[in-house]
Amino acid sequence: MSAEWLLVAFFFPLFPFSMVFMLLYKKFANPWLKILLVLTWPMIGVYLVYQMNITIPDWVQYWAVLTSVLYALRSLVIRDIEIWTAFMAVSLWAVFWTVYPKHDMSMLSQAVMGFSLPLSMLILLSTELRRRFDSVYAGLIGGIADSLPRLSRILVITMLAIIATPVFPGFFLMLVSIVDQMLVVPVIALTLAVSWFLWTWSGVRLLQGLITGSPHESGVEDLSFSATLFYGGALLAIALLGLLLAGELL
Amino acid sequence: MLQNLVVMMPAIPLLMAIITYVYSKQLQKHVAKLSVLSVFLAFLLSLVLLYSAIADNQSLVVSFGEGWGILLFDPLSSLMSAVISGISLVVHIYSVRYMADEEGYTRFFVLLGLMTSSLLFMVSAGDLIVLMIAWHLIGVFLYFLLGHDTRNQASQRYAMWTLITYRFGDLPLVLAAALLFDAYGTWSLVDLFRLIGEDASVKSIAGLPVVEVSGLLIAISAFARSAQFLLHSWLPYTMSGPTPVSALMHAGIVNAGGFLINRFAPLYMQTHDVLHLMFIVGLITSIIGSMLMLTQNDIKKALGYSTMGQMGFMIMECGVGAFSLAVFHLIAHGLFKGTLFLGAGGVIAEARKSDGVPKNELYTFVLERQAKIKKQPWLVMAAITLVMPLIILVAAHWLVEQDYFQKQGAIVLLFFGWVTGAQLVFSAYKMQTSNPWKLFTMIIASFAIVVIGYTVISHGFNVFLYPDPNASDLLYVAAGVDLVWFEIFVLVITLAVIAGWLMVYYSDRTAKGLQVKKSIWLNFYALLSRELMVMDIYNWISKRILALAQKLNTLLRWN
Repeated sequence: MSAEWLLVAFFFPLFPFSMVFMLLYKKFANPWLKILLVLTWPMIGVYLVYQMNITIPDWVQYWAVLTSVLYALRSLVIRDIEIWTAFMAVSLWAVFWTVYPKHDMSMLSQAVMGFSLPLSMLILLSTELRRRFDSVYAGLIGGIADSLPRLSRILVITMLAIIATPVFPGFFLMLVSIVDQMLVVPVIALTLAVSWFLWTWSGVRLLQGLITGSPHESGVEDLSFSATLFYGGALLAIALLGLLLAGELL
Repeated sequence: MLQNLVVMMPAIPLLMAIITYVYSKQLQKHVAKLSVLSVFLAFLLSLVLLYSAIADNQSLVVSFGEGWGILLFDPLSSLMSAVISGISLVVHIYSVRYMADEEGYTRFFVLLGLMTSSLLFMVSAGDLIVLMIAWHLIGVFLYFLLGHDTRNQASQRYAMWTLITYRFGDLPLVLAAALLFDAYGTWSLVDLFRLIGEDASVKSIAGLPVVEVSGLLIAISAFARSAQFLLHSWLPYTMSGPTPVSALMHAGIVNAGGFLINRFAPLYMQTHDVLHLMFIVGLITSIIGSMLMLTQNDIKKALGYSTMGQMGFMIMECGVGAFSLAVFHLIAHGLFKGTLFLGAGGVIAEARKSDGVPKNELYTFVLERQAKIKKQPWLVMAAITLVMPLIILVAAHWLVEQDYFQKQGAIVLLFFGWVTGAQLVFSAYKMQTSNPWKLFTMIIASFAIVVIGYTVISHGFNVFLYPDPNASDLLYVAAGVDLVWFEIFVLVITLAVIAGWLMVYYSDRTAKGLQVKKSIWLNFYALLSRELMVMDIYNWISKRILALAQKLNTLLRWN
């Protein structure tokens, strides 16, 4: 068996290959470059898997779910939204190792987008926060539910989309991954469930450091109506993508 | 026509929540009125559907897609919809004034509407996907409702703890759904139950039957939602949230476990051991919940633990096969607990003016501690304590169903009824009133009314929810244990309880007192006052996990 699949391990990140993505992500200071990276990186993985027709050993799935759990676990203590986004990206993308064998390229591409789009939105939102507070650090920023209601609502819904809450794509993808594995390799299904649980814990911990408590600064300008409309529309589109995916996957 | 109503009922609060959110700036405080109106409409529709279910006893299925996107309207969902929308309507109306001065008034009503809609979708879900979506969303909306006051650190902390526990409980349901879909190839609940009825022997992990494993996973989900022991710690601590949310939570949301188990009744009919586990978990929860309730000095926490005890009893009822009784219990509990929460503010305000306690025998005994000691013959009192409740219980059940006594689960319930009744009479004896016979007559008469009412109504519920007598019998069979062990179990417990009472009667009569080491009681009380250290253990575990995450990040240089 060839070791070509190791190449894929960079793009559907498996630890320690995941560190390459992490380093690149941190290196890019420009948010648009970060977004480009988040959107294209796993798509290269999709391309490699299907176009190069790479055979992947079954045991890699164990490695993948352990990578997912590792990054989900580590994300629990991350307080910087931008870094948290990168950790979540690795943890979420690793799940695709368990999904790809049963689905075609177009389906997997849509699924990858379903995971990556909310992450990209979070990068954009973190730039909105940085512009206002010079920081994206939970705990340092706080109480934005009161001071920036529009931004905090968009932020909350984006986080919910990332941590695989219904009816966003992540929910249905996790469901499909678990269904695919439950009878075949139940241990993998259970490990995926652990990852899912940790995402929720991690996401809520981060949210609480941002939106709750008393506002740390007053007189900060909230999102404009048009920006809210843009973000709201994007979230609606992601939710619709989730429902469409669910219609095809389940 | 009815199919349209089935869709409209959960959809109206959802649509209204979305519309009021979008136009919240223009609508301002009118959001509350519109929200009330939407739930009122949902309640009316649920009543029409309930009436139709009672009249026809037919199931309605509305499908939006192939495989999933199905709404199922059967007696269980019609009954639960009426209860949920009714309680939600009361909570909505109550909140209009109660929340008027709070920040985030609009947000509160939007969330309340979304929560009501999710609950209605949950009870009318006709497939596993819709059920899971609603099940997950309830946890998410509850998190935001409990943490409504974003500046209150305590409410935020416990809202998060609730969400974490809920998510912990959501995942077994996902695993069960995956297992069932893999085994039977359908998401539809109606098809699934039919296929399980045809062949329940499909094997899964390690050769274990799918129904047994998925039944266990579903039960774990129900345990988390209904605050069973070890998954209960979120419930007593969620009182920092707004009172209407507490009312809705204790009256509706926490009952979801009982609903879920009833929804999967056709699956549980084919299981062997899961119902026994439910019985044990429910029993432990009801005992621990009641003990913790008695040791609380915070009335809200005491109410929380009281709910835990009641939920334990509800799960225990499922564990003995009395599924319909659990539904009756959850509705009755929902109504009285909701009333308690919503009435709490008024009672406190009244109590500031006057305690309102009538100065009767009870007052004299409890508050003034001036009981007139007039002892009755202990043997006579003990005999009354033990025999009277039994006669009433047997007579009441004989009235509704004469083969009732053939079912083990029914015997267990009778046993609990008997213990409760006897304890009631026993407490009356301990009150040592000047006119014990009058008190006894009144207590026994009340007990008889409650038992007969309870028996007749629960029988009615059984006929409505499980019209096929075979279904009901299968549940009792699934809950049954080996007859010899069952009889030994009942006998030992009965003797232990009787011995305990006789000992107390006798020691009380002879004024010798019970010879138990004081230090044991003190240590036991200290443990209870620390709530069995469950939260301490969870805090310790979560700190260890976070420390591990921190170490890993440092080791891997945050890459």
